[in-house]
Amino acid sequence: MSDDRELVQAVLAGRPGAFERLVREHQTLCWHIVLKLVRDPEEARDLCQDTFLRVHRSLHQYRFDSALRTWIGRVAYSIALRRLERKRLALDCDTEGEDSAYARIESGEDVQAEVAQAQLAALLRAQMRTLSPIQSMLITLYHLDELTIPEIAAMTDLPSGTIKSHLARARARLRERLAPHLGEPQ
Amino acid sequence: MSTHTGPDHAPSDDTHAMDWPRQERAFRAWRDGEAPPSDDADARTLQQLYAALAEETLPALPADFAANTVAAAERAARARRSVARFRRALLAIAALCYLPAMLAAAATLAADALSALWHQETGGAALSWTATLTVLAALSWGIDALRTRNGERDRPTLRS
Repeated sequence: MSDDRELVQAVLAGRPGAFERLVREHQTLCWHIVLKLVRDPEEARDLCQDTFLRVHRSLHQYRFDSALRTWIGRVAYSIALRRLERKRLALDCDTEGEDSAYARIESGEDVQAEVAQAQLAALLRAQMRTLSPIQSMLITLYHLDELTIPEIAAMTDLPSGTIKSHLARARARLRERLAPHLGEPQ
Repeated sequence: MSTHTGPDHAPSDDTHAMDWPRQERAFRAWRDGEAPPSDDADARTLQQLYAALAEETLPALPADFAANTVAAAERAARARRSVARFRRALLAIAALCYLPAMLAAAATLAADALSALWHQETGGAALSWTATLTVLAALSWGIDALRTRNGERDRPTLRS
């Protein structure tokens, strides 16, 4: 928290390079949240920038009652959520049937012998796209960004139980879809 | 490495209430580098999934994202300062226009009221007395001010 305080004070004091440092330290988390929710990389990039512009404008309101990354994550989440609402897209709607890699699996090709780490990664990416935006985001925040459940709850205002439910459901689905390629019989 | 610690509370959704503890056990075992039991195919699969999730590749932000964002923030801040300056100038102009007008209106109203009062039967006498008292008070204050400026002391009290 003292690092956060130092950085925030440097930005508010207008010290050269301070805001850029803040952006670099938190852009990955912001990117993951926004990209997973809106799914379009170009749109996500714009929203990511909007997030940091809002952070820059409102940083004087940050009261250090949570970690800086939690506060920034909350801003990113609310901006992405608002975009989804404007586009009338459901946060928890999955996208069955849009995945060409999964179609390839169902075509009966014997891919088990070909599965290398890169292919598994590609399959995982494809399967992640079939999850709902919220599930996909939660999986990434929990497994890739290594955030804790309380941190995710603080960013999203979702109850911990709901977060765990989403994670459990998403993992079960990924496991089921990827089981043939993970070397296990279904 | 991983920051996932804490109690293993079951999720609120009953359908997956039993899944969460099992999945988390496998996750913690993977995180701690423990191999799953050889007879637990489910745990093995889950650990492979977790390994893949930890390596998930996503499109990256452009390399100049931070620099572009900083530039955009600076432009936005300059625009906000310009708007604030414009707003202050507008308020100052409004004040310069309206203040004299308000003073003139107040003076006109006062003059009308005084004139009406002067022409009443008792109004003229009342105004004369008021004006006389005001002049006397002003003279007294002025003399006191001059005395203080010239260093004259206060009248000695009974104590001294």
